[in-house]
Amino acid sequence: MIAYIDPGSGSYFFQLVVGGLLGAAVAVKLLWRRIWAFLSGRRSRTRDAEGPESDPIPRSNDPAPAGRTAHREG
Amino acid sequence: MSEARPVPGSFRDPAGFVFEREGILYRQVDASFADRFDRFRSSGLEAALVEEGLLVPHQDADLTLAASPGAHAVLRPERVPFVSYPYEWCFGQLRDAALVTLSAQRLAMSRGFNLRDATAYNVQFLRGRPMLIDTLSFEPIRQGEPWVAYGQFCRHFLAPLALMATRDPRLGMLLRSHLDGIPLDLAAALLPRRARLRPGLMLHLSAHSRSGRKAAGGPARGRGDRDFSERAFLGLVDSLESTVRGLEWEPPDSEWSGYYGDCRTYSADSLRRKEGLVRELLAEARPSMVWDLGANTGRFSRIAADGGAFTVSLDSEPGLVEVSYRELSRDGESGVLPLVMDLADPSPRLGWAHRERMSLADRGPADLVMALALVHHLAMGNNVPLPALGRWLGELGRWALIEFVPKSDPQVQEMLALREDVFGGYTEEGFRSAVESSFEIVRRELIEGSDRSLYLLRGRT
Repeated sequence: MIAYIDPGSGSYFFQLVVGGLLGAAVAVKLLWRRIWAFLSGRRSRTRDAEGPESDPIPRSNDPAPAGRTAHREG
Repeated sequence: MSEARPVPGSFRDPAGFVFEREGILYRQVDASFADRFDRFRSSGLEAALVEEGLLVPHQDADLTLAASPGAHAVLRPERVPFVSYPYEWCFGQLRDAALVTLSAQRLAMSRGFNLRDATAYNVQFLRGRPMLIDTLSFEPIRQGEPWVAYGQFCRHFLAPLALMATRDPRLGMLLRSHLDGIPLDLAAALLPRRARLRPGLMLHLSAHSRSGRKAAGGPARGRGDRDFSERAFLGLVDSLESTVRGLEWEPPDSEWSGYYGDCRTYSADSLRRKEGLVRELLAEARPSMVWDLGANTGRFSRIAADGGAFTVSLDSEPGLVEVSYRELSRDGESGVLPLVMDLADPSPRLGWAHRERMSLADRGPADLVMALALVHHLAMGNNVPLPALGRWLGELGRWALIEFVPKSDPQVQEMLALREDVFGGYTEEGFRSAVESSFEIVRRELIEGSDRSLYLLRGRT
């Protein structure tokens, strides 16, 4: 690793240790999204005959508009 | 050509630095970083970051403007109207800055790049939004290596956000005593027990801080014995993002109404009159940059911004600044920058050689300082003599718009209820003679329906 800031040996090795866990979490999430997409695709095909409805796929990791917090009205 | 003046806070990164020439800000890219910089530009990442509002835009400047030999390029970034620091931001501002940093990292990764640092000082507010200012923060990913800026991100963003959200928003001030971010072992020790059980905080703060101690005490291990996969990298950024998003803080209900929602001092009518007078007096001074000292939730800052001035809105109460920031974001008002600042102890110069981070006064003078219902708080709440206050206002602004609150005012009476009145010099006459050392009095207007008055002052120099 070549860095102009000190990355910290602790932070460096810690990432190597937890990397497998974090990678597995991404794999599970992607799989889950595929299952959702598959199921919702089947469902939406059924619903198309009845009328359009909103997309049920969770979007929790979609980037939020930068620089904006949730607002409280009032 | 006038002499180049390097910006004192820009010395760490050998890839380049920022300097000023004839009042214009430039960034010099060093030849040692040429290859990485050219790849960053040709990849289209730079344009994508600017388009997404994640990076401050800049133009190419002539190489002859370079401040020192060995320059590969000279850039002219769009200048932010007021440089602010993470220890001056409210919770929402620091949280948004963290999310912008992670969004930039995510976009960079999708094009084979990486952030090579993740300091909160690389974020500034431009047009009401936080964005990265350092064009040299990006480099091509080194396959198999973990994120070099992970520890820095946790110290600069995650640790203060976690403490502010789960313990007390005033703990953001720890960033003022720890310029390279809050040490993770300190953050982990200060976290409430329940917060330590949150998976993201347990991983990125508690476990991460313990690994730091072990590594510091144990033998150095060789690198390259294990790989950090692309998926692990994505998992790391995902996890940091969901941990940051999971941190929330709501100001107490009383602060949503602010001072004006529950105002005992002014009737609705006299408040309207005060607003009209402030508008009128500001129009007379025609400032482009206003500092609103003791701004509360920024009602009068917005009046100054309506008149065309960029307004820095300072208050010591993090909850009020939070409310102000959210309201400004909601309304898309980008002419006001709210910041947390105790005016009895304004931001000092900090860091290496006392020059790395500017004091409040270093960032001025403002065209006009506005101090509405502030003088009595400093003079009596903090025992500042009126002449010292007058000189200080003269250092901060070319003009001043001051509200003088006399001793007969119910609020002052309340302040003096339980203490000896040692403020014999606190009279309107005393105030006038105190400010007259730095200013001439242009106008004095009594606010009808109260015994308070507004003074428009013009600096003598």
